[in-house]
Amino acid sequence: MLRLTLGFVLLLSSLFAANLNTFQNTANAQTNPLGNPDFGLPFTTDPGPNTWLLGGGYGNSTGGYARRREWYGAGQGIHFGIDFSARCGTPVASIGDGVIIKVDAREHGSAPHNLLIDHQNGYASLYGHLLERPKVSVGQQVKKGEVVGLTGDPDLTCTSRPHLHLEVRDRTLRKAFNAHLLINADWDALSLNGSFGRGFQRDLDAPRKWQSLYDQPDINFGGPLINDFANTWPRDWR
Amino acid sequence: MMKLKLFMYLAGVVVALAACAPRTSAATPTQAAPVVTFATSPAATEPSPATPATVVVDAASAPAANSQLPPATSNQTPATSPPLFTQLTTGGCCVQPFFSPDGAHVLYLDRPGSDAPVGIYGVPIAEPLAQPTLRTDKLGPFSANMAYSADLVNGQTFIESVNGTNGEGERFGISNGGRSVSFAPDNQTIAWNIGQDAGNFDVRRSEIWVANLDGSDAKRIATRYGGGIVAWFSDSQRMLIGGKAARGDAAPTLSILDLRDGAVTDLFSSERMRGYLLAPDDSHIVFFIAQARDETLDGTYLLQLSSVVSGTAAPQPQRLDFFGAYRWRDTTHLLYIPLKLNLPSHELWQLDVTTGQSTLLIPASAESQFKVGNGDWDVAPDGNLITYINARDRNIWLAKLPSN
Repeated sequence: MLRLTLGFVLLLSSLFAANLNTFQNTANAQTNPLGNPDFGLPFTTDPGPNTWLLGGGYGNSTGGYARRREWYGAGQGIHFGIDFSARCGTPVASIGDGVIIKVDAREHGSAPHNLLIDHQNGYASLYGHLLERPKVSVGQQVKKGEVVGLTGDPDLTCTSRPHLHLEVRDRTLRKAFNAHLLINADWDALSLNGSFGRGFQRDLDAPRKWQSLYDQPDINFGGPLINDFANTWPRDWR
Repeated sequence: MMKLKLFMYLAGVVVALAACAPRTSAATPTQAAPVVTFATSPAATEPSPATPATVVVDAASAPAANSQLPPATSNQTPATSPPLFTQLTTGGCCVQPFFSPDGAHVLYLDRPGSDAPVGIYGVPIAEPLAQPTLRTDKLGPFSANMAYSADLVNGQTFIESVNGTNGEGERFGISNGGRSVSFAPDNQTIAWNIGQDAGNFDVRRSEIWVANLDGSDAKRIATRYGGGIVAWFSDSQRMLIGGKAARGDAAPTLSILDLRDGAVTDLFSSERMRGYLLAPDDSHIVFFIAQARDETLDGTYLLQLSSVVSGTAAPQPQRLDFFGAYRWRDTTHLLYIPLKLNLPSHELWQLDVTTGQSTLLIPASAESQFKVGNGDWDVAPDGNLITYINARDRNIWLAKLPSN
């Protein structure tokens, strides 16, 4: 009887899980060894034309691929963060509770100003291309949703490509994760708008690989390129 | 007609039963294609084939009337027939689907197995879940009717006829330094940008070149900064271009360039313009402005071109009261998915640009299969179907739209 009951419960659980999974945004979500943190979006406002939009996804994006050596070589050739387009001066919020561990750490890129937060759950986050040196101090505790900086432009003009570059790393800062799987957001809705539409670069030997927001590879900083495809599409047009 | 209704009903029951079962494996190509009828009531689990579902627009959720277009009436036109959702592929295949020029197939780039060639595969819309077939080993970019494709071989651009095999078709080497090309609708002319490799994106110099299809008679026809070719007009004699005419201009300008005499007609100037989409008959263009320093400019715009081209009116963009993704359905109807987060599925609306009236075609509901993934959706040439990546299962689906 107990076996029968357990079996029924397991069956119900599997039915529920299967159904739930179908309706989650994170299709094909990878299981993360560090667990799933309750991270939120790095803004205090809803997306829109006068706030922020998804500018570029994490992973093997066509834009990232085109600069796999010059810009993203340190991250194994892929765009190892999420870009959010936003006008300069838009408040940037911490994606989770944590402690400020670095301010303007040039060795981690994302000039002209950046910020790193250790979330004390195995993850750290990096906020890049900030407008000015963030007005926070190393060791300061921050809460999820707390404003920690202002968006800027890596080209320093605020007219070229103003955006926030956000990374989720492990606490050693040597590994970057697919942040779409770790930040609770309606990525399917967000990817319909803005300039995301170019999609992901194809390896023509395996053209289905890495073609969704949710199946992009994690990377190890300093590792070899993982997307230097022999045969690729779109082509390497000049 | 009765047979069709019976089929729809049976298919709906199959889907309802399938939805109750754990999804442990992807459907195989031999399975019947699920065809899901839209139900207006969230509680409804079975289709009611005898009673066409009508979409009742909730005025509270309808986008506000455009202040410059005629206001939408409170009795907005409900859809006259329900949308149908049909799964086309299985196994999470594939991305970036698009319609064949005749609208008979949905096409996508794939290599379905290690022993299969890479190419553009297709599924007939009349045979959902049929075994996909290789349509061409050319990968594009394609001309509008897919007669020609461009490719890059050892750093040089080539144009090939799509149906040619074993060297039988046309093949032209283009001396443009390995740039991608844009085909004019008549397949007689090509164009490309030669852009600066460095510098701030909003002021990078871009030369616009045109040539005959075979690359002959190449000439530079314009230079822009932070822009370039936007789209061809259907007469193949004019194109939309964007960017700053001079590096020091305060903002980029959207313009019409006449290839016959090089004349430029400026349409609209603003910083942060993006997302240009020309109507099939060249009568309108839609675009958006986002995150301009003057935030009062931000929004979606519709610009009527016919009166501008005829010289009877100055360019006067109208701001639309929605923001989201959009595609032209036909010459007068713009489909759009408003940017709304955390809905159970996506909404699909239709704006009649001649009246300013918006109609809700596909409401959000837990039963709807219209949840677009990867930002991938395309409209059939006849405007009656859209194909998209279903975010729920990552497969390619069709949605049959209510008729106008």
